[in-house]
Amino acid sequence: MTKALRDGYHIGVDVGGTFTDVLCIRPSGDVIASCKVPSIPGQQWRGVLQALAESGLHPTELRGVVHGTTIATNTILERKGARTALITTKGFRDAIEIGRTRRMVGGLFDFCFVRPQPLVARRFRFEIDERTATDGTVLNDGSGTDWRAIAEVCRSNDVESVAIGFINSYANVGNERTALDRLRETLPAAFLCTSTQVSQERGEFERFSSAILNAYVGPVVNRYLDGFVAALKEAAVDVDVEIMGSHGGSLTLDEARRNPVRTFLSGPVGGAVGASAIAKAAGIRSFLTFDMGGTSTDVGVFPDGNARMSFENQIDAFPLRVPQIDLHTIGAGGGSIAHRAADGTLEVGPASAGADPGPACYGRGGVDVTVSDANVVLGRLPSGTRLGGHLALQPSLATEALTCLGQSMGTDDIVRLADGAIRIAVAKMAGAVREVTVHRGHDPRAFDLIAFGGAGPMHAFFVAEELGIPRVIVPRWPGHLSALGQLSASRRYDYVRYVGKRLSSIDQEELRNAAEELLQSARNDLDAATSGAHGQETELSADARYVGQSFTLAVPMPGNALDLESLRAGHRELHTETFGYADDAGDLEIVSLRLVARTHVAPVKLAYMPAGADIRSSGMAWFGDDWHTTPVIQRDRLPPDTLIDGPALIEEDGATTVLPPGWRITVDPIGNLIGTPEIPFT
Amino acid sequence: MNHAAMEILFANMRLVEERRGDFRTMLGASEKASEHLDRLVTRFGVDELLHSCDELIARAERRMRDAVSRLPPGEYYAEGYVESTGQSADPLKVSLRLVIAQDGLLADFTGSSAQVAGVTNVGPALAPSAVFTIAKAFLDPKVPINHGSFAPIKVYAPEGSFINARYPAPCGGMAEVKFLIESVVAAAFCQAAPDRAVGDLKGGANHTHIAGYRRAGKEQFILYEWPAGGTGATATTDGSNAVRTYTEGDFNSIQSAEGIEASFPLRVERCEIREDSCGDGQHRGGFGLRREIRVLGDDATLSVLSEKNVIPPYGVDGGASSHPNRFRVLREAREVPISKIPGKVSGFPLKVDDLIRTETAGGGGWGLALDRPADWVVQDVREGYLSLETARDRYGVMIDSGVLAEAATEDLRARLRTERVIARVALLDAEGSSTRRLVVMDRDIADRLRAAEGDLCELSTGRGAPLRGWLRISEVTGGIVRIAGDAMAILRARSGDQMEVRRLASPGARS
Repeated sequence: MTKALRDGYHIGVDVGGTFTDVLCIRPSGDVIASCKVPSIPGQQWRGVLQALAESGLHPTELRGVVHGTTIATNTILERKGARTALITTKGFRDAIEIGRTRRMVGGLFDFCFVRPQPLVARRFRFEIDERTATDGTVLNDGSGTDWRAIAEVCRSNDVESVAIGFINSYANVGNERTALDRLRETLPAAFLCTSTQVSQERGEFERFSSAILNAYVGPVVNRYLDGFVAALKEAAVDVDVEIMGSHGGSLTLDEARRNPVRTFLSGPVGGAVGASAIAKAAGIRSFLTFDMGGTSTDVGVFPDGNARMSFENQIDAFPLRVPQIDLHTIGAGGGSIAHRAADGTLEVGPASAGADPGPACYGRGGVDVTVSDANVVLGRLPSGTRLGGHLALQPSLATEALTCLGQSMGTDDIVRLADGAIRIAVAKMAGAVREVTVHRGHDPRAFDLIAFGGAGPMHAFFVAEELGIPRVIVPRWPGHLSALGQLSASRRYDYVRYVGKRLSSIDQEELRNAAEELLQSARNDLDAATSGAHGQETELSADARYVGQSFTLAVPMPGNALDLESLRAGHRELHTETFGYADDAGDLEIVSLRLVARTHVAPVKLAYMPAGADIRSSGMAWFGDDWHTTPVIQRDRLPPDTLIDGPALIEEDGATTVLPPGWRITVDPIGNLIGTPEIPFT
Repeated sequence: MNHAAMEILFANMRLVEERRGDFRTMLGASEKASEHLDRLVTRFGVDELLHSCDELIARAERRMRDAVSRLPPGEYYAEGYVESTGQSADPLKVSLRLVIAQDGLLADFTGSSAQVAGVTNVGPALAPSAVFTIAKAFLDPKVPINHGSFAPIKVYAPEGSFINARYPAPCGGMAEVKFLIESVVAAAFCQAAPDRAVGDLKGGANHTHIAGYRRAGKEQFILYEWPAGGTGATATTDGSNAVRTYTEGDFNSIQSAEGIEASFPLRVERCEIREDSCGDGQHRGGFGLRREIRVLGDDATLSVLSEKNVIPPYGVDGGASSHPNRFRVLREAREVPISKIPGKVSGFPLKVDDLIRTETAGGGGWGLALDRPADWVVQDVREGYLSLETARDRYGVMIDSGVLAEAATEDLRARLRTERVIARVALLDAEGSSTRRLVVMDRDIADRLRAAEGDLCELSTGRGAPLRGWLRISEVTGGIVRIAGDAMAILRARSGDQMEVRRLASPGARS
């Protein structure tokens, strides 16, 4: 791949709310620098380049940047997108508002529930007289449309972005393409996209919704990308820029501009991909990624090392049909607030103290008890801990906050109260892991748990105990794996072709031809993007279901060889694994074919060279039902093969690993902590 | 598994392959659940597990009792109607006495109609389930349910009534009766907790079946939908449009147009918000939806089972009723009659090119429409949810070239306020034995309403849900409306009280 073949250096850049993480490698994969700079809106690139210069790296040698950004996420969640219009088939302007009449976001028993407003106001949903039939026949080509009139309304109302979504366009994209051409002529300055450009699947609500999300973030993301590319080019003329995509691969700048909604998970998938790079290097097969930060926890599942993907996603109440790593997010993190519920019981979250004021122990004016405060009171966050490198903990403030909560709950035993808060938080996180494993047909006991994020290594062992997970891995750099993920991401392309036929009546040759067309598109894209030196791969799968079912399973087609018998067998196996049974007499419906194409990059070399002598101190920490004398160990000084029995606290910049009694860890050759129970789970 | 027994069951079902799939899915889920329960038992032991369950139940019970104790104790009354017996257009009545005591409540349905020979009866489970759903929503909506939540709630539904029918009465009106009972229970709660009043919902399930054959008559198909309506307004919110309500799970109620067209010889020509269908109010109800499906193949039929086609969802605290559900077939652009009883259509034969138009009810409004901020009405007009005429006639808002005409609006609103029909109520001695609530109105009041004998009307005190009844005109000019004592109790009114009287439009009169 180009970026790996060229000299100079490459960086992964993850812009977080407070800090921007940068990891810098040579094309060989050797890590040459890693740094953290404050995230200052509009200024982060200057900060990044300056930090590189301080490490002796000249900007003109910068050849490649892979960037993880939360700009699309924030734009949607904060409703700060462009004023967007929709052009749709006559009779369907409200399809995006009505959907399938589902609330989509809670509301059971709650009569004050208000359905989230669509992202396109009703007066900017234009219906045109056009129609395609279900088999793709164009019944009306829309040539009677007054495009100038539509454009005029858009212009006079400062509409910046337009989505085009027509009924049955998945079966024939012709009318949407024509509309796109007409709009380009009449509204040249607007961001334009068709529904089939974002998703080619059947279901107008989901497809139109995806297109609208894309259009809504389009202008904002494009402005952001323009700004940062300009800043980069000022300093480094010859640099390839790629953006981390929600699917865990990198996107070309062009693709990110065209389909910016594909960057919705750009931030959080970085950590999961980074963890997967570590797992690969450490020879770990199936694993769960457990990324616990201040306000939320993201859990991903990687059976046999491949991310489980989701194709039917939802942002707020809006469906999004693009492939994403199936990350399950819950609102529980180190900053989650413990409080007394109406019935007098202890509750944790969903409110969070966030970064400001943060937990009480940060000493920034927070008075609520957070999960971090509970850990401080239990002695699991040593008082010498510095958060984010410079913030000193104030344990007395945590004690004060818990005492206060204890009074409202009628107890002065703040240790048990703190222990209860942690147990509740752990139960919630175990629930999140169950959601992506048990609820999706996987047994969590067959996976390792890779724990990272500021608060992940503090709670992972308890979560593992709860679920019977036999091995916990705390990777190196648990506080900043995202940048590693960005540098490890392969460039990835996704293709979908709608089929919609029954296995019993399908023509194998026809299906093979459809697959061949997908493969040809992939070959073209791969050839254009890469020299192929680090290898490429394509993976064909078929979305299939029993006739009458409303959900599909993605059946892999090994070797991209499509034959109907193995499709049936593959579906049988998958259905049994997921739902516990198969229906041998039932006919299958092949809904669509999918193809994923990837180009690989050279793996980042994870050399580990611990420096200096082992430093240990000791303190008291609460585990189970009692206080335990607990060593506090500096992680970056631990040589490979070190064996540590719990209880222990292992400290490093940005994270503390809490190893409870009954667990032991060893340090592997690349510096990961590998934890296993002393007595294996049965 | 007893395969022979299962085959007997399956032999009595339509589209049996789908049912087999449902059954296997439940079986698979149960096996998973059992495996995980075993694991919990192994980990905690039976005693500790059961003890934890008891604690959860006790906690839920405590929450519910606590919420009940914060309501004003007393007796609250409400009533409502299922629109047909299943055989005739005569309604069936649900009567409720809701007793709120210090730490529990009783829903007593004495006085509800007796069971009937038609299929509009239900067994003993639905009244408790409906009472519980509404009590949960009013009292403790946020936390998960368990048995403890039920403990403070007692339900008495007389045996032999149509809401607790006995053998051999046929039971088939599950959604119809359950949603009606919920509507009645909510009306009683609106009196008990007026700050939490909520506008009524579409009722029934709006079962809509389009059945026929595809692949040259070889294969049967059924498009089965149960389209949602708008939700009710509250003191703090407008209702939402065409969406599942707070009383039901979050499942699709319609299929995608593209899915329908790919599977059935049908074309969906419209799926849109039904403009103007909301219950008006200071907060308006949500809008229902309009759906048009064109028939492309021979031998199709239409069946509908829907409620509130005649008696519309009610508004609360002075808010207006919404548009009722409505089902029509247009043949060459002209409406053809599809049934004798509105909303009850059985196997109506469709022809190629027929257009099936489904319109669902909006949600009931909250508060007086004339009190709705005028700029909100302008906004609704600008977005096309309300027509100019509705803004003018129902909200008193005048709009000129898209802009609020302030002075004209003020004048119109003042005039519409004086045109509201306010009457004094008096006690009606003998109501007679009809199921239909009788409202006896002096001639002058009826004339002001432009109402005729037998029209459906409602009385609103401005607090809670209105009383609905059928009009009888008394030929005196005294400005009095007479209702029976139990109707007074529903309104929590006394003889001599003044209240607003409204005529409810007959079906078909509103688009």
